[in-house]
Amino acid sequence: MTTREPARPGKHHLLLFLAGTHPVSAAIRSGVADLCANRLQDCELTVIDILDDYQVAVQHGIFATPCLLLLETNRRVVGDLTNADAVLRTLGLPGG
Amino acid sequence: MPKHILVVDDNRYAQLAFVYALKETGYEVDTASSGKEALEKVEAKQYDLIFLDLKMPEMDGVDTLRHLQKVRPAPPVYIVTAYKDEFMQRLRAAAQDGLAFQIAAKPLDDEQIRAVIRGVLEGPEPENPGGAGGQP
Repeated sequence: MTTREPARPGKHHLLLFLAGTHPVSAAIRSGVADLCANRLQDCELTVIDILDDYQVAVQHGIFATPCLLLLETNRRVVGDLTNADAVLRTLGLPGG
Repeated sequence: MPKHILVVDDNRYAQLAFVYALKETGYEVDTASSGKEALEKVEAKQYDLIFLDLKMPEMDGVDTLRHLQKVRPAPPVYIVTAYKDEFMQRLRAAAQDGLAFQIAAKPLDDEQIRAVIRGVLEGPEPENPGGAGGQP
């Protein structure tokens, strides 16, 4: 299970759900980490490999990987996460 | 050009769930009832996306995936499985062997099937709050 610090106003908490650590997952992870670091002012990213911890996926209703979830609004993106602008837009975040 | 999707499941109802969910979406769906049949189909046609049931008799999803990843270009594969310890253990071992796959949770409803497929093949859908980009 993930543990997080208490919510801070304006902070974005992203949960990234992946399956395994193969190169495709590694590339997604790196792309989302880049988005979090460079496109959002205050962002915390937690990566969950559902092969290791599927309970978190159950808890958040994640039905497929890869999935990026914005905890504050429960908005999510499933599938192709390579287009940072589209991902931000879909999550309703600034810069999209 | 329509995108081609292959659904591999020994349960006919599970196959039909995809067929019905993707009716009138423009995607072309083929089905296979075993790993062996899936490999024959993949040899004859290039698929954009494959859904592979984990639990099938004889050749299960992981064994089928092992063969599929020798195909060039290797199609992206979703392993469809219930979230259960024994299944995750099998998939962890497969991942450690270097197999690349994504997971879709069983059972998927129509909207979830469409959301995953559109999300993978078309990207996020900001205009559709009920779709891949929206709330569950």
